Amino acid sequence: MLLDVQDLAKHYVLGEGFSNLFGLSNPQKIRAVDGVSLRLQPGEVLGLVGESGCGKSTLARILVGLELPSSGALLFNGNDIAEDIKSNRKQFHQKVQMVFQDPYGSLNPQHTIEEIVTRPLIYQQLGLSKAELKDRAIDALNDAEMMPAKRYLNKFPHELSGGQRQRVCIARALVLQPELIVADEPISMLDVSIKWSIVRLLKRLVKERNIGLIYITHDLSSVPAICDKLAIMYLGRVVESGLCDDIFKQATHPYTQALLAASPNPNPDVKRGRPNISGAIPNASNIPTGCRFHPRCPNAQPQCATEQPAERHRGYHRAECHFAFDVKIERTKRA
Amino acid sequence: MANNQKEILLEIKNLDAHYNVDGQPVSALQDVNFSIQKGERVGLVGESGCGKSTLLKAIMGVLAPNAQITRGAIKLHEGDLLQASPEQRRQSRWNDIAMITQSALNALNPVHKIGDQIIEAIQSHRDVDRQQARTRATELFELVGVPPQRLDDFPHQFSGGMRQRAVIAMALALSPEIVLADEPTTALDVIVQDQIFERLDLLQKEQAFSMILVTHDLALVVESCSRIIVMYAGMIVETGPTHEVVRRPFHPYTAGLRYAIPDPSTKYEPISIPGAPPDLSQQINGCRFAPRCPLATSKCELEMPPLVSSLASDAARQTRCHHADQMDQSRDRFHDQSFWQTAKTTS
Ligand SMILES: Nc1ncnc2c1ncn2[C@@H]1O[C@H](COP(=O)(O)OP(=O)(O)OP(=O)(O)O)[C@@H](O)[C@H]1O
Ligand SMILES: Nc1ncnc2c1ncn2[C@@H]1O[C@H](COP(=O)(O)OP(=O)(O)OP(=O)(O)O)[C@@H](O)[C@H]1O
Ligand code: SF4
Ligand SMILES: [Mg+2]
Ligand SMILES: [Mg+2]
Repeated sequence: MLLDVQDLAKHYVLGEGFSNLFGLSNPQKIRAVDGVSLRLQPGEVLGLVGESGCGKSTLARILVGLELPSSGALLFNGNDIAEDIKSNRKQFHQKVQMVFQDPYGSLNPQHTIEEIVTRPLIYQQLGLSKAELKDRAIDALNDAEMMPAKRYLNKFPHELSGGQRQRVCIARALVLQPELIVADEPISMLDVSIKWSIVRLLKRLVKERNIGLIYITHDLSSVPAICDKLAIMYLGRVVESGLCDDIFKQATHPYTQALLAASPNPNPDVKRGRPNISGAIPNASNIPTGCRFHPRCPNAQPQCATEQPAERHRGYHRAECHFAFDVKIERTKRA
Repeated sequence: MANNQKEILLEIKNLDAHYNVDGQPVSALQDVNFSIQKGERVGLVGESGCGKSTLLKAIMGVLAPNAQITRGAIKLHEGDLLQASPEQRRQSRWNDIAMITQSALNALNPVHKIGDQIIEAIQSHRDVDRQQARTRATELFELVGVPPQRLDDFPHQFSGGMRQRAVIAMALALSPEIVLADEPTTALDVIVQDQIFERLDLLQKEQAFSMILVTHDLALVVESCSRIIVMYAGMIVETGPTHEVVRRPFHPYTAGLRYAIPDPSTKYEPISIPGAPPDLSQQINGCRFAPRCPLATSKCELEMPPLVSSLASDAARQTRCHHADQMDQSRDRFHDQSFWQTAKTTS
């Protein structure tokens, strides 16, 4: 098992600052990640999809060791990640790389593209010559569809467009040939043509090098092409997970169904169904009782407001809904 | 445009711009012409690096110091913004024209509470007290679907999509006449995106503000913009009513963009456009798409095609292609990857 996550949680406390010393404000507890379990084998791509603010980036930061969980277990190749980092940080970073969600905040403005992409190699002290470093950077940039790579080596981030920055972020994560890549919305600013080339590349790398990839995205259209497995998050929890095909064919959680129904279609002659969930997006500091989705759920019954649903499953397909797999709930449509 | 009853709000005329890189000009915008009516929402699409953000920044007046506009006019209500004084431009920024930058995830000041930043923006342009400004900020947070209790958070406490929504809120704060939105929903799930557009629709009807929406997501343009502008390598290559352009593209690049999207309602496999955009530090006389275009002829390599009406029956449809008249016969071939491979760069 490349990655084994058990019941992971991360809670932030807000308003704990100065004013609170005088009892002026109530600290709010944000349950950003609230009991997530995931498993990833080498050679697998796991898609992580969910509402804005549901905890995907927080989970990602914990998986690559940038933040510590509040509770839960987190094993990489069978070892506790926190221990791994303590004993050999450099080695851990060689094996685990992240592509950050924000391509504007995550590239050092003072460094050229060549410096940015070769920096992880230099940090690893692999004893590469200048020419070798440059070649590795060019290869990684080409892989990330920054072509011709030579045109960009001496540029600074501010000279690049949004999509070009994203490709530099991908190149930087690929250059060390890690075992696990956690990519947070890596291609959200790329047009379709480049997007598919990168998706194909990532998929190929995963299979050829037998690495693991966690692909966080809001773009459901890209999911079937790259993901083997899928986990749908809602307010800090995985509410549905399983093989990508199964979920696309037979989503059982009402939130997943709504998400699938809401994707815009590029064909003006095809009308999509509108999701019939509405209502304010809940606050992670005030998570509803019972099923956390119940205030917005079109299928909610009285018990949903009081009882937290246990996980139900059919084979590898799992969902946290009282009625998961029960009845074939018709695809929800907005009235 | 089609119904010329409507009042034109913004007009871009013959705009050329370049970036100075190592003392050399690198073309960024060339011969850009279009106009936006009051209350209209226009989608701007095109390959990564084609100049979409540059165009918005030029309109907003926030181009990078190494950028230079060498020709043209940007008219807001007849007045040319390029001739306005820096003070006039500063006044109109946010008040008349607001921008949601592509770097929205990174746009907020990390050391101030988000609510304070919005309140300050409102107070610096409007004569209102703090309480009134706070009420407005609360309304705006509700509009974009962030719980107003979180106005007192710092940016690092927000998720990517929450920061993006805070920036959308900020852009709407002063009820501008036109909003320039650069990939405003890259960090939003489809449901939130849907809700925001639903509310924007209402707001746009009430206040009749205009919007240019830059996005890589053609489906979003199809659903939310009446008109589309397609750019390639710094130039507008096609424009017209969105549904018509998407159903019946007249520019080979538009066809490529459209047919690269998997569409379960057709039998076609998605294609990809081989090759890369041209190096704009070099002078290009012909069509900028010619090296990747399967229809290209020697004329295309030598002569820049003009942006002209592509349908005699509809003046609103314009295309920049010497062979637009062949598209009706050859459109289906653009679904075929092997047809794309016949272009010059690949053969
Ligand atoms: N450092 C922090 N302090 C306090 N709250 C935080 C912090 N980081 C994240 N949060 C909160 O935790 C929740 C989850 O945030 P996270 O960034 O993980 O969401 P996300 O799923 O990545 O969303 P998006 O798709 O919008 O990027 C949000 O409510 C966010 O405001
Ligand atoms: N300050 C600058 N100096 C030099 N070149 C620049 C500068 N800013 C942008 N460029 C270049 O100008 C071209 C257009 O950039 P722009 O940011 O307008 O693209 P875009 O269409 O918004 O792309 P994306 O969809 O990737 O954001 C790109 O090739 C980019 O590398
Ligand atoms: S002008 Fe020629 S090269 Fe350019 S797009 Fe049209 S057919 Fe292709
Ligand atoms: Mg995130
Ligand atoms: Mg851009």
